[in-house]
Amino acid sequence: MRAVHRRYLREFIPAMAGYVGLILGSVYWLKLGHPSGYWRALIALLPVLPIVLVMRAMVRVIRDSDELERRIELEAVAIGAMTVGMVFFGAGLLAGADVIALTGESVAIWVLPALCASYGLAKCWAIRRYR
Amino acid sequence: MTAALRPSLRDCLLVALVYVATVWASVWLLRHPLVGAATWLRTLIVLVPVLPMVVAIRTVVKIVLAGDELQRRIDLEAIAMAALAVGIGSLTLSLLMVVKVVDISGRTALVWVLPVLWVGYSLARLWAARRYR
Repeated sequence: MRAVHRRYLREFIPAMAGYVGLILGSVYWLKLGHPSGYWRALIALLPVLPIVLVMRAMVRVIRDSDELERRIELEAVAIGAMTVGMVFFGAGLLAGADVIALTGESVAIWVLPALCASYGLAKCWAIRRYR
Repeated sequence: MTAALRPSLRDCLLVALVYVATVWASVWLLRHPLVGAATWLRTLIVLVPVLPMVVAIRTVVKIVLAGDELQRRIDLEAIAMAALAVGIGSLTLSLLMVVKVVDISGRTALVWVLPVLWVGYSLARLWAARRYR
């Protein structure tokens, strides 16, 4: 593993761990019904803070990657994001036509896993193309 | 914009229109004439918009890769940040829904993913372009 990727993991893992910790903590706290009013929204949004660190780690790894790596990443992330966006949009129209029925919660919780899976598959394809 | 990119952008717009038209057509068919049709036929109709979607993705990738190294760098930062922000934002939103802070229907959530990704990408691109100026 190159030094740039090691640094990325060093920055990414604690930030994600912080995110997961804050998510679990804030949901637990809110489910107990402790804060009220605007405090509930503030506590619920607390996990967004470590995401700034995740984004910073990502920007730094992109900046320090070589040209081929950046090209592969660009193809993968563009294909992944577009696929997810269009599939969700199509599904939204189908939901509007009562062909499928989903709750807002189930949709929102699946956006990130769908983006990650789509990006992963697109990256495998892009790596094979440039081999 | 370079002259070489203009036909690609035109293709992209055309494919996006075809995509929207096929989605609307398939939704209309499923709601009206094919309400009680066989499952295989309904599934086939649902999958029709996938074809223009594949062409759209190819076109967008072609446009993005046609840029020079700096543009590709800016695009990569922008798309990656937008995708991550939308993914994490959605996860946070789902938690807000679990604790009843907000309430959004499934249909609204589905339809808004693509526009939010697009707006996120545009804003992140402006930020990234300023950084490299």
